[in-house]
Amino acid sequence: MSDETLPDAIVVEHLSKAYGPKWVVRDLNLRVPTGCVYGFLGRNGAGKSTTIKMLTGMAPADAGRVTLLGQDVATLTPLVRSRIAYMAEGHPLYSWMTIGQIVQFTRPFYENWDQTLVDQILDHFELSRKQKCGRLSRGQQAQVSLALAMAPDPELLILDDPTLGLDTVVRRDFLEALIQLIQSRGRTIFFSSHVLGDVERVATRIGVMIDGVLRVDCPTETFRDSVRKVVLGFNGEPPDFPGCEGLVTWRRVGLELELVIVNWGPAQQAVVEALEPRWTDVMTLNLEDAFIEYTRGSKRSLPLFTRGTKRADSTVIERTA
Amino acid sequence: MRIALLSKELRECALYACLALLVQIHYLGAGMGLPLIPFLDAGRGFEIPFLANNNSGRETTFTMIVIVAAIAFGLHQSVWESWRQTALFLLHRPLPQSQIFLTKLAAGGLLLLGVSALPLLVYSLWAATPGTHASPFFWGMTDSWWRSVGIAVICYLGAFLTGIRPARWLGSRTWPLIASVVLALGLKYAPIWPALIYVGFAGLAAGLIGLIIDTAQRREYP
Repeated sequence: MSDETLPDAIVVEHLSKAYGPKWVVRDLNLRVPTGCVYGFLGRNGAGKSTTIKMLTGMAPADAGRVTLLGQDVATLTPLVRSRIAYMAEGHPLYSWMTIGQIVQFTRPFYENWDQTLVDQILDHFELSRKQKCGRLSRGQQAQVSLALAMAPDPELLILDDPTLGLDTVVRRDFLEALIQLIQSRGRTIFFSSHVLGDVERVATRIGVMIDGVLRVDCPTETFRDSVRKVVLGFNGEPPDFPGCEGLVTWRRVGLELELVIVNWGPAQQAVVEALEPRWTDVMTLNLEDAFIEYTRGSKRSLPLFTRGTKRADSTVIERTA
Repeated sequence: MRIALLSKELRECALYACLALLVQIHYLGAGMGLPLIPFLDAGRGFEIPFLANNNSGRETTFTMIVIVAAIAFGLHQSVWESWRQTALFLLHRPLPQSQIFLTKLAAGGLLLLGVSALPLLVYSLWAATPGTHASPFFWGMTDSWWRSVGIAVICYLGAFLTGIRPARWLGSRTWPLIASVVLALGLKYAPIWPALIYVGFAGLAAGLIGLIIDTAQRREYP
């Protein structure tokens, strides 16, 4: 059976949640195809963790519906839940248990528990079964959580910021193990992260939440390729930008006008040229830069230092005098 | 899987249970002339077991111990899990949430009976054995003590509900516990037929278990 004929692993319809008067998640609609590795992005407070909790049934939604592996999450049967792995943010484990004990505790809940895989993962990360979970580093806790999550051979993995707080080396090890497991088993993974490099390495599709609303839902490459940063240089005070199709945001930085535009093309170029700038830079961005430009809106951090900023990571694809 | 969960819960509360049991063994043992720490029970002299309104205060002590243990079990089993965020780990196990919470309550109930009903039964059997003390005994004399066990069960469930109940401030959060204590004490001393008191405890416990399951399924886990 080809992937196109498989049902979506995650279907979210009109999902909303508010805390008091504030909407944390608003009318979220999302489909994650089976076999997809979906990176769920957003700034702090954008609603990622709340969404993930609603996906796993750990937080009730105010409105909307979530379907996991074809079953409504509100009435998820134990059998379907056993096919879904969930790694919560911070990898909570019982601190008084040893690694061996937590494996023994978790094992009876699953019929198809792969103890060999658990042993392989624990051995790969050089984790002793006698170590207490409370004395493990964050990275080791993540590794134990990964072993516990993978052992029942889940079809769907939901990971809430799995690499949060891990140092670069541990993060890389963790991701490589994750990639290996994904490739060998072809599972669906939905994960949130703040580390855009990780997302770029792993995710085939991304979603970007901004203030509780899903603004982007497309293949990773599409997002990276369609966001452009356009800088216009002027001799004097830059004019107001009149707006154009695909404009995400614009701002003045000294004698420059910075635009973030999705799907840069002749129509947008015509609007820019009408302002008669002294020069124009159109830059492609890597995922991290594209995400930052797309999500930070009109606010800029440390505006005092922006004039001297080098654009070392970006490629100048066009400059007009 | 329920056995694994039950055993986890029993282990997590084992420390409180051991402490409560040691205190019970000391005070009830003292009633049998065998205190665990003799100097702590010196000068009390002979007392008639289960005699109502005697001045040894043994029943009051028993009641206080089981109430404190009940509240400790209830709060530990509910608050600790949320506070350490292990609720997210536990509740994703493939077992219906209601069964997870019922297993937790079963573990707490077992421990509570272990530190209240079991020592009380031993003390009662000792008192019922001819030749152990020079005073009359009939099982009806233990009624008031068994009511204290009923109070403890209600307090345990009230504490558990307080622990899992989301609320903005401590006052509104603790009302299930406060209401449980008040209702249970009211039932213990209610001037009604004794059997009705136990029916009342059972009804109250069933209501609290229903509320716990309902709250657990509706709430958000941090």
